[in-house]
Amino acid sequence: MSKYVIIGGSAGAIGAVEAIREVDPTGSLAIVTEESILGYSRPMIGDYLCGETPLEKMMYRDDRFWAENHVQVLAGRNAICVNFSNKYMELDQGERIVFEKLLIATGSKPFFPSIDGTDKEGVISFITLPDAKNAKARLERARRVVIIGGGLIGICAAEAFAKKGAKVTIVELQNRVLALLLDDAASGIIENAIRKIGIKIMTGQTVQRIIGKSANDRVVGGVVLNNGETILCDTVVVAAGVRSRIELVEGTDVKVNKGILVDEFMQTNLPDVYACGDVAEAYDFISGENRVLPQWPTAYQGGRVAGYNMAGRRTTYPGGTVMSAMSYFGIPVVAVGMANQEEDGGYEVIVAHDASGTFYKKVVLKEGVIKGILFVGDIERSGILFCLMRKAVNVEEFKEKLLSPDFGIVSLPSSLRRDVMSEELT
Amino acid sequence: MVVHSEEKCMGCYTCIMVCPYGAIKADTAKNRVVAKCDLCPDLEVAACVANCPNEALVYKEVSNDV
Repeated sequence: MSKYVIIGGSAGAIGAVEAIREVDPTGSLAIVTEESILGYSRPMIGDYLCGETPLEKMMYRDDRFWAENHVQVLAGRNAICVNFSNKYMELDQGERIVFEKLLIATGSKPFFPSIDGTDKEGVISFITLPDAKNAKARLERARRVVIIGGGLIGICAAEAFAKKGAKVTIVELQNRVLALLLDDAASGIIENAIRKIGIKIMTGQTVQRIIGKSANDRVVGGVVLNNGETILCDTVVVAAGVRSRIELVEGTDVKVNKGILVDEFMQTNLPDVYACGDVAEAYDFISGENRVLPQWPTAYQGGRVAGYNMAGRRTTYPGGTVMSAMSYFGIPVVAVGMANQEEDGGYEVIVAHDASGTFYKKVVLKEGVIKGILFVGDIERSGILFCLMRKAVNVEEFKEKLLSPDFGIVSLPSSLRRDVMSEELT
Repeated sequence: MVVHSEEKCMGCYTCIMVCPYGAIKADTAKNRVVAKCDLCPDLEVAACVANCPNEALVYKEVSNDV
């Protein structure tokens, strides 16, 4: 029996533990996670793979965090099923844990396209620390690597393998890399940097099948593209996106779309059952709809809100949106909301860039309100726009100044300054 | 004041993305951030501190004579 149970041990769990303990310092709290190491940065596994970052530096909280918060950690363990009406779950060795409040924070899993050959040795995914360790063990052999998918995970893996001297090819279905986050111009800047370090990018292509070595068909020997071309390789990284890990609630009363549907309290349709992070479909304040947002800030914040509510402090989730801050090949990028929106259908786009291509900044407006922000190369002051976007401030009057290098709170009309800064932001 | 730990900072730039004053700068050479600010006066917790994934930015009380 544990008053609170959390399934999953990453960003959402950290947020929930902190919130629960703020309200209820002593109620029993258990975490079940299949991973043996909890609370590390997934975006940093690329840096770990190429040896730039040690594991210690990837930890979101220090070793004492779980013990200090009196969390019973069941690591390396799997939750097999949950009985929602009688409020207990079963673990892989048959034990039952009865709970009062449950948080499902199981995250996401890599999406494997249905192509032949994904079961061959040398086909890997790149999301978890075990994935990174697996990749690291292959580094000596991984001389030619094909990455399926040019999204966040694919680029991260490509950069790491290239830094270790592998010959890397990215195969991307769309016409540009990072297509879900960036527009053509911003992708172009990143693509130039990618190509500069010798990585090949093939856009508008898909891998039709993965083929074996002529000597041993069970081992990866190459990939065949839809245009018929064969690329020889020894390693294939499947980075074609992620899907919410909803297995535990499938066939139960918990309502699911792409992820588990949650309300403004991060609660599912069942009382006492909450979800957050990649597995949840929560409110996006830009699109105005619920959607799965597989990223750290919303997982952590959703976890906090869930935790407060589980412990009895009524707290509302303000909504999340796309929030990506990152650095690829030394180029910092901030993409928020509808960052890749082009000028179309009522959206106005303002752009600033320099001729040498060192920076590119864009803000997307609809009816005078910021809906998307994209800063590449120079990300300073992007937070001011994020604040204006979060508060849905009408910027029509001063929109020409938004992207100027000295834009600041002082650039706002004085009547707005106080309003903008006076409310809760987070 | 907000204190930045160079040792803990992963250089994820989340703080820059959320700082409503645009006060945080990226040190791309070292893959970290530098900040000088007067806190977010109207927030209980400064935006950067609330959003820093790994507690590299924390709030600390300091006496004036330090």
